[in-house]
Amino acid sequence: MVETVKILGQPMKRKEDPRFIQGKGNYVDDIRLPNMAYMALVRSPYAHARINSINKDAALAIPGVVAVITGEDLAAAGLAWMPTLAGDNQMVLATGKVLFQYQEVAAVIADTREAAYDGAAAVEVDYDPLAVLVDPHKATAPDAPILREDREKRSNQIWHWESGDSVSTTSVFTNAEVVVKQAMYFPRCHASPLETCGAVADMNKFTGRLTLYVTSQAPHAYRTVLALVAKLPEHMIRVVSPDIGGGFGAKVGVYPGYVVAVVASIVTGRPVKWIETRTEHLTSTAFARDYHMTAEIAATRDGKVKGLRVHTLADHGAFDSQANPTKFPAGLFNICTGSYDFESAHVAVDAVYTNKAPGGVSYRCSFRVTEASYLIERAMDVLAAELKMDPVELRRKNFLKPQQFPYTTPLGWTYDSGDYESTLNKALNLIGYEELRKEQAEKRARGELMGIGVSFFTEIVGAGPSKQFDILGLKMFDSAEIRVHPTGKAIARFGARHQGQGHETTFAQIVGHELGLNPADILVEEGDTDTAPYGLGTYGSRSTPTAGAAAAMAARRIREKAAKIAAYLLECAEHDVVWEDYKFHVKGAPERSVAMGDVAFAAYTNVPPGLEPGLEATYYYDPPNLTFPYGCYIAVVDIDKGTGEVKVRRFLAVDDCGTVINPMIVEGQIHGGLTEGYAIAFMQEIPYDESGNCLASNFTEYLVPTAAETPAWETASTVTPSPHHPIGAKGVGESPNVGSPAAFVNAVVDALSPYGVRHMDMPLTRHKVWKALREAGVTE
Amino acid sequence: MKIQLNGVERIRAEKAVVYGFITDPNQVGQCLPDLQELTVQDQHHMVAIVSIGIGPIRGTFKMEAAISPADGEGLALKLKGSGMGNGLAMESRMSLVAVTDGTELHWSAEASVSGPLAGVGGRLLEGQARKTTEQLFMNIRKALETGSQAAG
Repeated sequence: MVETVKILGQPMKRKEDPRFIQGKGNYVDDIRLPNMAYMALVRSPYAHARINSINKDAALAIPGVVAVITGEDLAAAGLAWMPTLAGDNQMVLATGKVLFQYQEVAAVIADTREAAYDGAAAVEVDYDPLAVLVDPHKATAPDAPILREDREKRSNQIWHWESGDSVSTTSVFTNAEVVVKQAMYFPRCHASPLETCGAVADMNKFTGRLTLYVTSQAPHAYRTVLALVAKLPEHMIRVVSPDIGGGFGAKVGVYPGYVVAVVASIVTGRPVKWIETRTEHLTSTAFARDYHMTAEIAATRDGKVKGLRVHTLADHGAFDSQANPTKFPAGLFNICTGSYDFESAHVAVDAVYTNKAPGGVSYRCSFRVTEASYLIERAMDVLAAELKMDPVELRRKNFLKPQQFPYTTPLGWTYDSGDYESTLNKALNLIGYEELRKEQAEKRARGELMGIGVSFFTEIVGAGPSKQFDILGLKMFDSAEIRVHPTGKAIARFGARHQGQGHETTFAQIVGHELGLNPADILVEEGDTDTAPYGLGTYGSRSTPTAGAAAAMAARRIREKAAKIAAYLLECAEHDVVWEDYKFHVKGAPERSVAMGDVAFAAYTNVPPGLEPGLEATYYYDPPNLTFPYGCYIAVVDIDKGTGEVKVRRFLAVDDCGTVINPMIVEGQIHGGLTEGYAIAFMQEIPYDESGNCLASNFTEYLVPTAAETPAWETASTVTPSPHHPIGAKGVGESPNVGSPAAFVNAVVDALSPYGVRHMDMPLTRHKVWKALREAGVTE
Repeated sequence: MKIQLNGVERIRAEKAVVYGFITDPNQVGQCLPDLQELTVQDQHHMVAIVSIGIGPIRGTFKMEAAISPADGEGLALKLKGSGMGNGLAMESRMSLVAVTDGTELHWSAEASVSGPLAGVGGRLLEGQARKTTEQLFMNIRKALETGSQAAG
C-alpha cells in the first residue's frame, strides 16, 4: 500500500489487459459444453413478403441436422413474439409475413456449425413479395402499406412524443429578430463491435435449470425478461455474460436468436450455441440513429439565442426495439438545448415503422444524446453563419454561466455542474485558435480549403433516478457488493457489465480508495447473475455514475463497521477514531494507527464483543440526479479540391467528466470514441435500396477505420466534479462519440463555406464533398 | 434491387419458326444460361435449376418459369426463384418483327433481386444481370440458326 499517493486519479494499467492482449479472454464463442449443438438461422431475402409455406424436409435430410424450428412451432408454445425493451412486440421467428430483409424465419440445429448452415440454406420458404416501405417520410401516406398487422392501430406511426412548451416557444419565434432553420439527417449506422452477438443456451432437464451464456450488457435484465417471456421461474435461470468484445449499445436488447437458442436447447435436450455472422450482425442486430431532424433557432441580431424548436422523424424499422427507459420513447433527446441558455424550447418526435431492420439503440450514447448534441452543435454553426459571427463567440455568448448551476433547462433537465468557459478557453489556447483562423484567411486568399469546426457538447448520463427511470418497470439503480477477506484482500461484484471499459481496474481503484486497500488486491467480478447483485447493466455511460457510486457507498458502509473494529484494536472510543491517509488512527495521535488489513484480520479472528463477525457490505445506489459531462472538441481539416478528400489535420478533445478515476483509461476511451465518431462522420451508413435490400451488409460496404485512416488525437481535461456523486465522477465513455461528429461536420462546412455551403449530411465521403465542390462551380 | 434491360436479337429464321421455338418450354428452356437441370411441367411451365455466381456468392437457384402470350403477338416469360437465401424474379416481354433476312426479336426485361446478392453483389449485379439476360437471347438465336437446341 503506497500511502502517499492518492489511489483515485492514478493511471494504473488495466488489470484485464494481460488476458485480452494475449488472446486469453473467455468470450461466448469460446464456451464449449459437452454434447453441444449449433444453430443457424434462415433469414428472409425479402423486405416485405407473405410466407406461404416453409418446407423443412431437405434441411432435415442433411447429415448432422437435428431439428428445424419455425415461427409456427414457436407459436404453438406462445413464443412466436417477444416484448422489446421499448414496449413494442417483435417476432422471434416470422409467422404470416416478414417485415425486413434478413428477418429471422427459421432455425436449424445441427451437430456441427457447418451442418447447421448447410441446413439453413436447404430450408425452402415460399414467399409472395409485398409492397415495400423504405422511405419514412412516406410511412403515413394514405397509400403506404400497413406493415404491422399485429397492432390494433392501423398506421405505421409508432408514437408521437413532445417535450417543452409549444406555446411559449411559438411566441419566442414570432417575436424573434432572426430565425434559422436547418434540416439534417443523422444516418442509420451500427455499433458493429468486433465480437458479434451470440449465446450458448443450456437447459439441464435433470436439474430444470437454464444457463444462458450470452453477449449481454445487462445480464440481470435478461434474466428477468426471460423469466417473464418464457414463463420460467427466475431462480432456475442463470445468465452469464462472459468477456464481451465490445457492446456500444448493440448488446443491450434481447435478440430473437437468444430466445430461439433457449427453445432449441429445450427441444433437443442439448446445449445449443448460436453465433451471428458479421452480415447477420449488421443487417438484423439493432441499428443506431436514423433520425431525420429539423432544428430552428430564434435569436437576436447580436447573437443571443432565445428559442429552440425541433421536429424529428425517427425511423425504427420493422419493430421499435430500441432500449430506452420506459418514460422516454425518444430517449434523452430533449437534452438538445445543449450548453446554451435558451428561454424556451419545444421538441416533437414522430416514430414510424419501415421495412428495415429494427432498432434505434443508442450506439455509445446515453439514449439519443448523440443525435441531440449533433443537432444543437450543427444548428449553432448555421446560426453563426447567418449572423456572420465567429462560431466560438456565438457559443461563448450563450453559455450557461457557472453561477447558474444547478440549472434547469426549458426541457426539464437539471444540470449538476459546469464551467464551460474555462474548458472552452483551455481548448482554444491548446489548439491555437486565433493563429488557425489567420492561417485559414491566408489560405482562402490563395484558394485553398481549410476548415475549423468546434463542438461544445453537454451530455446527460448515468440513468437514472428511480422516480423517472425504469426499463420494463425495473428501476435503473445499480449495485455493488464488497467482501473483504481476512488477509486484507477483497472481491467486489457489480450489477454492471463491462465490455472493455476497464471496470476491473477503475472499480478496484474506487474501492481501494475508500478502504485503503491496494487496487491490485481487489478482484472485480461482473456478469454472473448467480453471484452479482442485481443491476441494470452497462450502457449510457451509467457504470461510474451508478455502479461506481454504489462501490463507494458499499465501501463506506464497510468503513463504518471497520471503524468500530479499529476502535477496539486501538483501545479507544469509536468517536476518537479518524480515517486519514488510508488508515485509522487515534484522534490527535497519528502514530497510533491500524490499516484496513489489520481490521480485516480482526473481523474474522478477533471480533469485538457484541459485533457481528465478517467485513462485507452491499449497496444499491439510486442516483439523486443524472450527471452532465461536457467538453470542447475542435477539428481542423484540409480539403483537396480535386478529389474531395478531407484530411483531419488536428483534433483536440478537452473533456470535463468530473473526478477522473484513471486518466489513462479515460484517454483510451476518448481515443476509441473519437475513432468511432470519425467513422460516422466520414465513412459509415446503412442504406437500403427501393426494394428494401440492405446495402451495407459487411465490412466491405460498412467501413471501419484502420490505423491508416484514423487521425492523431490530442486530449486534455478540466475537472468540475458532480456535486451529488459520492466521488464527484460523471462518466465519460460516450462523450467522444457524442461530441465529435458535429466538430467534424462543422469543420468541413466551414472549409466549404466560401462556396455558400451551409450544411452537409454525414457521411462526408470524398464523393459527396467532391460533388458539392463541382456543384459550386469548382473545376480544378 | 430492380434492373431494367432491353435489346434486339436479329435471327436468321422465319418468324413462325422463331415463335414456335420460344413458345416451347423444351426448346427455350435449354437456352437458359448455366442450366443444370430442366423439368418441363406442361406447354407453358417449367422448373429450371441454374447455377449463379456473383462475387463471393455462388450456388444454384431453382427457378419456376412460365411462358404466356401477351399484347397481341408478343410473349411474356416470367421467372421466379430462390437460392442461397436470395430471391430472384424476372419479367420479360418479347415481340417478333419479320425483316428481310429473318426475324427481329425485341425483348425487354425487369429483374428484381432480393437478399445477400443484392447487397454483396450490388456493384457487380447489374453487369452480371445484363450479361446473363443477353446470353439467354443470344442462345435462342444460336439455337435457331444452327438448329441445335443446346447452346451456351
